[in-house]
Amino acid sequence: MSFDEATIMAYVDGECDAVTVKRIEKAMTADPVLAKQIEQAQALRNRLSAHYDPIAEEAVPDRLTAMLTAAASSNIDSSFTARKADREIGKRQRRGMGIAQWGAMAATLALGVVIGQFGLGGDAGAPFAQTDGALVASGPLADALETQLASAQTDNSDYRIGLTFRAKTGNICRSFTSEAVSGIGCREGQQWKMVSTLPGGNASDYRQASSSAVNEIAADLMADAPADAETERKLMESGWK
Amino acid sequence: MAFEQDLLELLPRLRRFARSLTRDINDADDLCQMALERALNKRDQWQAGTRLDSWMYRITRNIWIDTVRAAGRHKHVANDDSAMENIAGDDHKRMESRMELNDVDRAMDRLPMEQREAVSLVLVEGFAYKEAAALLDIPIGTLTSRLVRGREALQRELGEAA
Repeated sequence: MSFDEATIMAYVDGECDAVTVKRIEKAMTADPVLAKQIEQAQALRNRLSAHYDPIAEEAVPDRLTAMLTAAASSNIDSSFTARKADREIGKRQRRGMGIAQWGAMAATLALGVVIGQFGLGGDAGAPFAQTDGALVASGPLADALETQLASAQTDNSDYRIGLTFRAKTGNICRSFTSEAVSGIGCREGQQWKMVSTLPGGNASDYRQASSSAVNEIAADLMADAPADAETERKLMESGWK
Repeated sequence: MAFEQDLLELLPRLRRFARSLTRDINDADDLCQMALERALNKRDQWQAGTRLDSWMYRITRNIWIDTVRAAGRHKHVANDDSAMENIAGDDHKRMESRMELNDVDRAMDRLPMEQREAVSLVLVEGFAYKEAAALLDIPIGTLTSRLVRGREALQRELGEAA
């Protein structure tokens, strides 16, 4: 029995029905030409995989992930329907996404990203702005980083300040979480420059995972230990120097 | 926010797909960037519960086709320095000077577009024939004949060892 090329190809691609599979496998044992054809088709698949699959293992460039974290933060006020839909998907997704993945993802996320081109720059309520090619806190996020003490937070702010610490670079950095976006801002001049951003989350388990990912990044940046309440207050009084 | 998170998870695969279409890493990321922009702008058109990956691959593929066609039209005009020009895949000379192309890149690059996208979706991205055909809006028979021809060409190009 002979098989046309489309059938051989379908066999290699796992698209043949069970009966055809059996026929082909039986014929292969007696037909070296057929066996060779199949071997070559498989080798081609393998070669393509070997070439392209490593790309899916690479860290995704910041400019791409930043688009999504920026978009997530600009959609806080999405319509009720959209939020409802988000929750539906969220339910599905939460099952498949653990803290470990968040951590891995956070490691690939934005450093000094460009956001202005995505249309957030001019919006007064937007948490980010672009200055000299760097992503800096603006609006309510800038206020929170500038004036909010982790030791005295109320529910009035959309942002929760996490850790305050001196980075190895000498700058003061503060981590924050919110429904839409979490991250770390470091004080440079009069601004809070974002050194890391990642999506926040509506649900508390998201927030937890996201905040622990932020903490991991903070630990890497930190010169020694995070500031206690008193040090935090003194740092604020001295203008975060 | 789950929409963005789903996209984030999809990005590594999307980059692989873009790379198999354009074969240059920078062009591939430009393509991904444009696809993300379009997806974010048109997020209302995606229906929750349907496959986000197919939707995203379709967007990416459509932008790639548009860009290649647009570049084809401008080919004999002077060197147009738009960011996306290199996605076109016609600009071999510039490509070759920029990087050493791998055999697989080169062989894929020589495939006609409709064979390349079929090979990419099925052999690289692992879509079933039915899914790939639906994504490309073509009958399964058309998909499989493109796959047969694409494979023949690749096998010829890459030799016995494939």
